[in-house]
Amino acid sequence: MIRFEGVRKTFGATRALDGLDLEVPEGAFAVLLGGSGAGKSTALRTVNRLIDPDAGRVLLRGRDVAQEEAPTLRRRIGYVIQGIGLFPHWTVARNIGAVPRLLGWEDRRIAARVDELLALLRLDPSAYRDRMPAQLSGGQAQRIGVARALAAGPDILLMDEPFGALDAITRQAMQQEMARLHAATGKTILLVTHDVDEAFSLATQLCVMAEGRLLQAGTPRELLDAPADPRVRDLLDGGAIGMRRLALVSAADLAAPSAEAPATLPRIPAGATGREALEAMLAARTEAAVLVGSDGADAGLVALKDLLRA
Amino acid sequence: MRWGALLPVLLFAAGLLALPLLGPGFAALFPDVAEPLYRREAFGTLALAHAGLVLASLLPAAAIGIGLGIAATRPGAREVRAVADALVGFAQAVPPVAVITIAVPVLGFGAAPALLALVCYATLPVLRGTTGALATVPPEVLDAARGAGMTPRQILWQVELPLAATPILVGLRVAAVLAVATAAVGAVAGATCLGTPIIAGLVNGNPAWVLQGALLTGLMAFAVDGLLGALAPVSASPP
Repeated sequence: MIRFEGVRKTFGATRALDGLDLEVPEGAFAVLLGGSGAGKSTALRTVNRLIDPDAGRVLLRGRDVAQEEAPTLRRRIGYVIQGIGLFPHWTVARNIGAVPRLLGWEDRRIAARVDELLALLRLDPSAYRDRMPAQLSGGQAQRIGVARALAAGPDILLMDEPFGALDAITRQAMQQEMARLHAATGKTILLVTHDVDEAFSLATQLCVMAEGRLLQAGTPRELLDAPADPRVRDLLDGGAIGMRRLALVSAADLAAPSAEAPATLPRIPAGATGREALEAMLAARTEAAVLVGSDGADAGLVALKDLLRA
Repeated sequence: MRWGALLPVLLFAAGLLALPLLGPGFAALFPDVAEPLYRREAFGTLALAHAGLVLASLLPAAAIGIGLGIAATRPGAREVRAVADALVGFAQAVPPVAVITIAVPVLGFGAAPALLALVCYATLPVLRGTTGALATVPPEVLDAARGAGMTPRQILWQVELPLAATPILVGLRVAAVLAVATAAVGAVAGATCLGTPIIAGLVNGNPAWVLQGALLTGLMAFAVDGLLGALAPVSASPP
C-alpha cells in the first residue's frame, strides 16, 4: 500500500532519511517509532509530498507519488498534525469540509458529510458544527482535526504525533478513539510517535527507526520477542517488557474452562488483556481471576501461572 | 464598527465649517496681520484636494506594499524580501522635501512630485505591516492547509490573507495618517492641499494662515485615523 524504497533526504548538514526501506500493507495501523531525529516525521511527510526525497521513491499502490501533482495527491490522503492546525477563521463545519470543498463537492453533500463525521467522532453535530476553533478544548479540536482528515474519504491517514499536545487522559481517550476508527473503517494509517506506550496500544505494524533508517518492523509482539537490534530492545524495554507482552495477549487465550469458580475470585470482562487479568489478581490478592462473558456467565478461569505462557 | 471612532471625523467637519467664521478671532490673535483669514481658496476645496492627494498616493502604496509584502513572504523569496526592505527603507530615509525638490525638475510643479514623495512614504508601513501580518499566521495552520491539498494561491487567499487582514489594515492606517501629514509638504511643489495656506503664510509672514493650514491638516489626520480605526479596531502604533 505504502512503500518506501531507499528514501534519502538531507536538510543542510542534517541527514534526516538515510535510505529508508519500508512496506506498509493495506489496512495496517503502522506506527513509526523512534527518538527525535530518527527521521519519522520526514518519512511521513514524503508520503503526501510535503517533503520530496533527494533520492529513492515512495509508492502508493505501486505508483510513485512524485508522478502526481502534490495538491491533488494530498486531497486523497488524510493528514493530522500535533499542532492540529484548524483554520481559526472558519467554523468547525467549514474546517471539516475543507477538502471536500477543494474537490468541488456540492454544499448539501458537504453538510451531510460534516454531520456524519461529527457523529463518528462522538460530537453532537448540532452543538459543534457552528463553533469556532477557539471555542474547543484540545481534545475536541483534535477530534475535529481527525474529522477534517477523514472528510473526503481518503484510504490513507497520515498522523504526525497527533496526540502529543494533549493531556494524558485526553490522549488515552483519543488513542482508543483511533483504534476504534481503524477497526471500523479499515483505513491504512501511518502514525508517528516517540511514545512507546502509544505505539504499543495502536500499532498492528510497529516500525522502529533510528538515524534515518528502519531498524525493524513487525507486530509489537514480534519486536518484543525478537528485537533485531539492541537499540530496538532499549527503546521497547523501558523496564516493562513483561507487562507490555502481557498487554498484547488476550486473557481468554490463556484461560482454562472454569468448572465452579469460587465467588471470592475477581471477575474481569472476557475481552480483557493478560495485563488486566494480572492487575485484577494483584488488586484482589488472589492467584486467579474469572472471565465473565457478555451474557454475565463465567467464561473461563485464568490463573497467575497461566500468565507466564504469555 | 465603533461609533466613538467617528468623533474625530465630526471634529474635522466642524473645523472645516467653523474656520471661515473665525476671522475676528484670528484678527484678535494676530493683530499685526493684515489679512487674518486665508481666503485664496475655500478650506473645503483645499481639504478635498488634500484628500485626493492622500487617496491617489495611498492606493498605489497599498498595492505596492501589500504586493511586495506577499512576494517577500513566499517560500524561497528571501532575496525579494531583502531587496524590498532595502528599497523601501531607502525611500523613507530620504526626507519628503528632498524627494519633492529632486522630482520637480523631472515631473514639473504640481501634484506629481508630491504624489511620488507620498507613495515612497506610505509604502513602507504597508509593506512592514503586510510582512509582519503574514508572519503571524501559525505555521501549523499553513502545514494543515498544504496537507489538505490547497494550492499556494488558495492558501494565500483563503487562509493567509483573511488571517492577516487586521494587522494589514493597521499598516494601512499608519500609512494613511502618515500620508495626510506628509501631503501638506506637497504645497512646496505647488500642489493644492491643506499645506497651501502654510506655505503661503510662511512666504508672506502670515502666522494665522500657517495655523489654519496646520490645524486642518492635524484634524484630518485624526479623522482618517478614526475612520480606519473603526474598520480595524487595533491601536495604530508605528511599525
